[in-house]
Amino acid sequence: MKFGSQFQWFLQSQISGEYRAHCLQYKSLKKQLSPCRRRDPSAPPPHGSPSVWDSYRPVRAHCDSCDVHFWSNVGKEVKDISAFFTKRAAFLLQEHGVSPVYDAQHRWFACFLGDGCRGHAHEQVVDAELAGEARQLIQFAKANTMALRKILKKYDKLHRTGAGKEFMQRLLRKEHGNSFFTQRFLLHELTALHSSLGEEKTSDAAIGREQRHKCAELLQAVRLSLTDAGTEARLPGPYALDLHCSVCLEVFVDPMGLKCGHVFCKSCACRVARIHPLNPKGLKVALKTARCAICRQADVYQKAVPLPEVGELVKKRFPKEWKERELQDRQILPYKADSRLDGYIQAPQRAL
Amino acid sequence: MAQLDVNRIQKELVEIERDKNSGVSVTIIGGQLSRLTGTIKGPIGTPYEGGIFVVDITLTKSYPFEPPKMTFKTKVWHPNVSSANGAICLDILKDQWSPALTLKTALLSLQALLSTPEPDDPQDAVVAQQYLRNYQDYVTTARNWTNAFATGDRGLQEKVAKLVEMGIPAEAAQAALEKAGGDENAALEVLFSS
Repeated sequence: MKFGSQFQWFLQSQISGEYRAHCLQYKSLKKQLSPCRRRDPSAPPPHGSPSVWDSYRPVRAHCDSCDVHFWSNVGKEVKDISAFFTKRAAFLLQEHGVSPVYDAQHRWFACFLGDGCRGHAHEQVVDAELAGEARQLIQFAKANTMALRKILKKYDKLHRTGAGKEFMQRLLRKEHGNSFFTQRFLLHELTALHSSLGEEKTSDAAIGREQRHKCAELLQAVRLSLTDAGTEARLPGPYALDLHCSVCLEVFVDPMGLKCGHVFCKSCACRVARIHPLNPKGLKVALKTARCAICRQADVYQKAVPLPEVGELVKKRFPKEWKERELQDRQILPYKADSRLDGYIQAPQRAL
Repeated sequence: MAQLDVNRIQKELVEIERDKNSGVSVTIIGGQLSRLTGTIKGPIGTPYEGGIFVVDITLTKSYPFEPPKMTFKTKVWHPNVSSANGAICLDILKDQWSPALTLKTALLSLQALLSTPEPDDPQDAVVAQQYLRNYQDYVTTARNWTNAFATGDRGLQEKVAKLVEMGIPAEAAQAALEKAGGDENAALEVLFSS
């Protein structure tokens, strides 16, 4: 099956109407490339007249016929999808109510839903719905990532340039702010929310086996296409969640997501950054030179965010391990003003 | 950071124990988790093939936030390993250490170091010179050292026994073999030239 129809099928069968409306307009973008698509693929591209060898080298030249609409439209779509994704994700997480981080920003959502008066029976229904929505949103992000990569690849193939790749890399570097697929923590949190509400079983049973296989195939491709773009370092692994910290080798307690996308227990992250785990200022006092234990990227601690949904999932899935690990954290010696002697960085002293 | 992180070290040991195919192993010396012995198999297709190399591991109280101290106990002829005391020159055991690395990954890195020496950043200048100027000699010496010191006690003992049969005292035979890098003929030369 061609990707276009595969994508169409995926949207029709897996993504509900509201989300579908916000998906990447793959077909229309493809149409915008049609002037070049109708050209004989063996003929040299319209721009310049490259020699035989030059044609193999990505030349970041522009194509007059396609560029007019294509890039501005792609940019706009990415922005729209990202805005929708962020808003929706924040809303879902806020609804579930474990994530205080998002409360402040999105409190106004609560007005519409009358959060406080949910009964217990009612809550279960809402939970199932929430989990379903979380699943939808994850699928939505993955499918769009795939479609975006495909269309950019198509552009590169038609024009024999690396412009599409460059565009993707610019997005990954977050030059235009966060995009839906660079919001790793929202994805982490959504996945955790979805798993912790236990929706997996019911939804998987509902989808037929063949369909499930087809979905898996499409989503697998996302992973491959993301890694083959040489972006591995920026996108650590697929969206799968491993609930073990690679510093203490145990389950996460108070997981924190660093700027580079890697997750550690809060106390582990503190120790790696040489901050006392009970330092009231937490990771904010980390030095810029402190590096991530996994990817060695510097300056990733100061903007670390807590991942409460992931934390909740750990508690639910590994209650025993979580308790043991938590006990270890309680044995940490209290924070003292002279903890510096143990090699920790101090919170900045207030000027007298 | 005040005391040894027993939980993590135990987890690591369990993991190494479980993965028998990795070619590395770690055992505890004398009930204390801070002193360990690791072994690595010599990588196939290198002069170290067939050898089992013993590594002395010492963990400080700040492990895993500081690298484990590792030295080769088995004598190794390698540009990045001191032929005299087994000190290792490897970045991840120094400034490039990261707490996400483990004893297993460190030992695997040592194994990788055996198959890809870095003569431009040497620990043993003599070996590095030989590696750069006379590669064949390096291969021969490294293989001899592997056969003499890294094939368990058996290889060396057999050779010592042979020399003893020729009427040489066991101690002198062993010393000569070590000096000659495990090569019997060279050892004889050493013995008779002195």
